[in-house]
Amino acid sequence: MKHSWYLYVEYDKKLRQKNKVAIAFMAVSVMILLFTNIVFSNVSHLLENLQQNCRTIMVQVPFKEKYLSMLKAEYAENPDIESVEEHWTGSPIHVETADPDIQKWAGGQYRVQFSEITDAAAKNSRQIKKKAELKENEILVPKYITIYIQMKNPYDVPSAWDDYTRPNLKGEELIGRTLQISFGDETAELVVRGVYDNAEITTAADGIFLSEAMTHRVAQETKTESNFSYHILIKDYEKMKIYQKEISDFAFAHFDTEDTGMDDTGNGWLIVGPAYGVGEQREASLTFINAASVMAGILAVVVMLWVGLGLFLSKVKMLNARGREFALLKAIGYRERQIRGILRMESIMLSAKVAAISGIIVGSLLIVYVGILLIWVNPLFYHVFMPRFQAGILFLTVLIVFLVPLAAYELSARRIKSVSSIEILR
Amino acid sequence: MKIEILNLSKTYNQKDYVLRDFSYTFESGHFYAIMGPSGVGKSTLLHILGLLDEKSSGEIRIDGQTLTVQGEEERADMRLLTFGFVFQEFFLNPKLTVLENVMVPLHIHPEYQGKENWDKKRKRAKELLKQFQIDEYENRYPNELSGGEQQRVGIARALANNPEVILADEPTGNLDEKNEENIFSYLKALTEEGKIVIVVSHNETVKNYADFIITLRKE
Repeated sequence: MKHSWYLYVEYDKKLRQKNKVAIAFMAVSVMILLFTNIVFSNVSHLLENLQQNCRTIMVQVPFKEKYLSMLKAEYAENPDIESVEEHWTGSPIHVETADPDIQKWAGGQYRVQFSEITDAAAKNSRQIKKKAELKENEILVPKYITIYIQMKNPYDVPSAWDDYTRPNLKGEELIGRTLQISFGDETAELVVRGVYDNAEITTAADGIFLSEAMTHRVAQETKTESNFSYHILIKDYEKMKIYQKEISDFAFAHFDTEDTGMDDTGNGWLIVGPAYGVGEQREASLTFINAASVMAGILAVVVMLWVGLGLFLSKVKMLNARGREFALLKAIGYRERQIRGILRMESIMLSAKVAAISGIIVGSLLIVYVGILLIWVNPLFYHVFMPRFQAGILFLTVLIVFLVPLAAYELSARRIKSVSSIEILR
Repeated sequence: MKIEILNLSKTYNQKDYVLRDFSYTFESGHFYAIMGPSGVGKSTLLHILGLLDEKSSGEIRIDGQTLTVQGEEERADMRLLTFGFVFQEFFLNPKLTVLENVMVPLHIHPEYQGKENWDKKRKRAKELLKQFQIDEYENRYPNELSGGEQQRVGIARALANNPEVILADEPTGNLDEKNEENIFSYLKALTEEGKIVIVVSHNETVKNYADFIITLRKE
């Protein structure tokens, strides 16, 4: 290896000029490979979540550990059930504001709402430290704000909540402003102390942080820390309706009416049903989701094959174009293994320098740039296209980038043996 | 050095001979021109002499010792240390400068191995460029030179390892009259250093420089 390196350095320092088109192709291919892989990873993650949502039955009631235990004891071992878990759904706190700027952002609509981020949602991020520093009358708002607005319809009846977002809606602009929050029958005026980076909390990107004292006060008033529900994931979507009834009957029979607030007619806090309103539309969309998932997978595989084949062929072409050079080297006394050594070093260096460094670094930067661009267009893309570190994807890309040119080299290196100096130099 | 060739034959099918029963002795300090019509086996003879091709029968003796080279690696070593090749189409690497082209054989020569011999290697290549009056072009690329200048680089490369035998296959095939004479003069000058120069050529001018003319004929 040492001798090969020496020969490579001595003989062929100008490798990069050998075939600019092929090298550019390799670099661009690696970028495409990386980009496609990460997009596929994000999209498939999103689709997986959507699919999971369609198979989830939610039992919503103020959280009690005993109910989770009861549900687990009843259903965790059931072969039709994939999992039984607690799930945070939101806070009883609403922030409403008459702030004219926020009203303006909201497009003149009359109500803006944030919800609270619980410790549970924030516990794995460094944002939790910021919460500890808050005074009672202070809050943190997201860096990028997603506003939920209750739309008015022509009949002046509040309709369903719609997501409403605006580009460039930056939390920093709220710092120092006073927002009014309401919880139960109480209200309080709180000052925005700062922002937190909601890129780190994907489960509640629109939430606010309250101080510990304020959280406690809200809990006292509303009798709960926050709203939890129990999510029961059914393996087969076709059995959703069966289990919805069965779980509903179970909860009504076993949960305390004090906690569920149920009256004789069965009305109360307890809600049992598909977590995300899986109706006929959702049912139909499942087919689409499955098809889209398969298509995204096929696309990723096709791109990987295309890039792999392209890398392979460009490398083979580069080596084949140098037949006369190898013939000359053989004629003047280079041994076959010395030529192979040079080529092996070239392949490694080419992969390392051209494809790996330029492709992976530039590709990664491209991904971050596209991610930022998308978030600038619409902050909701946080959930879809957050530029995360994808170790597995990076490893796969590096593996392809290194192994494919080396495989091409190994194939072409066999040709060196058959290169006849006489035929070529004649 | 003395190279004796005894009854050398080359055939590809045991029936049609490219070369048949050729015998000759080449000695140091002489310029040999091998001439004859196309297809008579001139280049084949040169390739067998330079161990690029294998003979079908016959014997080659170097200084009285029968040449018995076994295996491709041994042949490569022999080519490196004993023979220098000059080609009609020069075969310079277009991506390397003139100096780097001359240094190519030195990278694998036992006397020039290792980083510590880098300067020695450059010095040797520069001396050769000076000898052939192309030292001012050392940093140029082959395509920036005329045909005659490129062939001088080719000869310098052939001499880099200080071989005792120079084998030239139509070295002036792509050159004009003036450059032909120059190249033959340079090759002739090498015989004064005791080298054996064997040139295959159709060019009648070579007769003015050759000490011996070997004319091959078809059977």
